[in-house]
Amino acid sequence: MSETAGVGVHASASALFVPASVGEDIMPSDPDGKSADSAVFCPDQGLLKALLQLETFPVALTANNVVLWLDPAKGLYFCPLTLERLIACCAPENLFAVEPMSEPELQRLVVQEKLSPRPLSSLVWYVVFKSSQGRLLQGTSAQDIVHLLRWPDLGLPECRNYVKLAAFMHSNSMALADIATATHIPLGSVYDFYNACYLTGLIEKVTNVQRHEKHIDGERQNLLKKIRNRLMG
Amino acid sequence: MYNPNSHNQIKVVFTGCVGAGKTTAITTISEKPPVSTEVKPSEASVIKRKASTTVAMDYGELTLDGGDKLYLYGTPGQRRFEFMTDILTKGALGLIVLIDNSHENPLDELDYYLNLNHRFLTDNPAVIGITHYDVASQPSVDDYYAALAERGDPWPVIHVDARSAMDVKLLLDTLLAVLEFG
Repeated sequence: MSETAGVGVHASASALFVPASVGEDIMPSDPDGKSADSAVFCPDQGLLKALLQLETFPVALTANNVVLWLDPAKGLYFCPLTLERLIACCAPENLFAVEPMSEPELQRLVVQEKLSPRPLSSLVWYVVFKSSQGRLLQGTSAQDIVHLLRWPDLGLPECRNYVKLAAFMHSNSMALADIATATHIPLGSVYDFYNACYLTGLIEKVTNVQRHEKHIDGERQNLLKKIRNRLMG
Repeated sequence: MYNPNSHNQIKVVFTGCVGAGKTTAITTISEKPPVSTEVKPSEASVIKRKASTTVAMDYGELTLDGGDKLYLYGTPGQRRFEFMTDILTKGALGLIVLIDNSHENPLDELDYYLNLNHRFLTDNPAVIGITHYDVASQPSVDDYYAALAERGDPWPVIHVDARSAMDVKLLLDTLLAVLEFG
């Protein structure tokens, strides 16, 4: 028996999971939020709240000087800002005005502004990741056994630092706390990654631990390390 | 002196359709000017897409700690040279499959290259890199995952720019992670 956040691995806005209740403030993102925070992460503010409440029709989201356009049915968003810049411009306490628009209106605007379509699931993933701050998503326990159904967009900013964790969680079904121990990745970072993957429908919760023991001899291990060092150099 | 047939070489192979960016990816990260065997293409479908194309292989290298080399091989894109694939993948750590998303049928191309390397991929990993995503955003990454799921393949899919060293390194880093944990 398993439980996933979305209706499937094709994360669109309608497949996103919204925790039942409201709680802690979402603090500004800390890129090195490594240590686990005992506080709970409740995605109930700012841009994230607006994204998790999307329905299927196109909308414009506006707060301060930030505007972005979304087509939830197609799983796309449009914004002239880069993802990093967009997040930097959004304070957690920002209230986003949601303005419905028609499909032709959106198309006209996209052509007029020369905007490229980007995957909405990537936006949600990154906003959750930056908002989590080492806190575990409300309704989840560090002992929950989880499995990564599908790889997230590893090309997203900072996501490329989580390749090893993604590979591990894709091959194993384990408790979050045990994943942190096995991968030597700080629990707070595991939480950030998990939260983002869970809210985009990439995670399933399962009842049994499945550990895929891969035996790699020392020589091979050393070779992989040398290649990794070279790539980072 | 390089010998693509050597079992002892530490190597990764880049494969994929014509114009997907195999030569570019290797050129982007190779620390020496890569050896390329580019000529005017002869297949009609290729002539439409590129003025020159790889006929034997591309070859680049990275020096590791202790002086070992990681060899980077690129297969020719034209299908009449597909026999090179078996030669180049022999003993390789894994495969990077680059797919040009602006190609007429990118998902068919994915299928073709995974089938072509079926034997190799029974025991070795692959990472799928989608290029020209800025030119054509369809099929989406989700579509690629759906195609892989239908085949029962677990490989990661990443959209990349073959001209970006960071992106090519991400492909290789992901391949290492799959080798270690997959």
